[in-house]
Amino acid sequence: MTDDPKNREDDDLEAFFAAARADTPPLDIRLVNAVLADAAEQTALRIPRTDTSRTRESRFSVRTVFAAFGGWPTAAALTLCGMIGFIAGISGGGDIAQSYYWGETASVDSAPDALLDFIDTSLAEG
Amino acid sequence: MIEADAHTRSRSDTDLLESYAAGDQSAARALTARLVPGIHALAWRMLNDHAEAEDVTQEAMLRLWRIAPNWSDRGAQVSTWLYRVATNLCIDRLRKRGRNVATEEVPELPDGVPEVVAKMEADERARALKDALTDLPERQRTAIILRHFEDRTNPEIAEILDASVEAVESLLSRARRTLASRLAPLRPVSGLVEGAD
Repeated sequence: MTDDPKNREDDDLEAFFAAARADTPPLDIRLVNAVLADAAEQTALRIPRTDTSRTRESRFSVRTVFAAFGGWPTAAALTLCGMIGFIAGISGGGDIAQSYYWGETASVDSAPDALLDFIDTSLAEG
Repeated sequence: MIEADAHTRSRSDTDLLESYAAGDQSAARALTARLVPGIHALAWRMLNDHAEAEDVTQEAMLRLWRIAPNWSDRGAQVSTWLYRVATNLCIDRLRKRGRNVATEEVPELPDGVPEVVAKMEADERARALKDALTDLPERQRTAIILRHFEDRTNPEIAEILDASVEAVESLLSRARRTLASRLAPLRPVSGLVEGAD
């Protein structure tokens, strides 16, 4: 203790604080168990969440989109059409269109036999 | 209550939290043993109610478990973050209660207190301080509890209260003045009078 009123005041307060610090609240074991149960529950919740997010991601994968547009049959058909267009262009497809416009009979005799074979095979494989 | 081995004791809170996030429940036990007593004491001193203090403690810890997988983004000490959460939860509850509940009158004490045992005196001081704390504004009360009961530094308190260090010093100074004036009349019955008549 001291004669300085300020220090005296601090000392007095410290005595109150010391008494209050000794008055520690009891910690109930049920609270500790509840906290640990929450921790375990949150861990358990995180694992299914991760799996769910993976499932959601897979819904938007390339494979899913590919299947939604018809899958391999559509891809084969598109490839085929592309090749027909390409070959027709090389072998004078412009003449075919022009002759069709003027009422003449169009012919695709210029299409190679190999292409026709390929078309047959592709359609058969489906 | 919960024992921790030497290796666990040497690990930081952040390290333990990261282990918990990876699924290690022993890290959760170590964090619980390390953090729950302080958080519970803070809530109990702020709210003056055992059941509410337990609710706040459980809720604060639950928020810690939930934030664990994203902790690396926080850039703060785990204990400081947790004290901040608990403090805000306590303040929310105090506001819901309303200030009128907090203004409990100190009961009249008999004149010329006779000889009392040291334990009774200490209990009386503790109760008187608890009552006086209840009357302080929320932030002053929080600052005093963190400083004098939880041994937090002023910079830590500033972080918990989202205030500057200067503001915390001011809060503590005003709180101490209020407590001193509030507790001064109780000194004769609290065994603190020297050379009394």
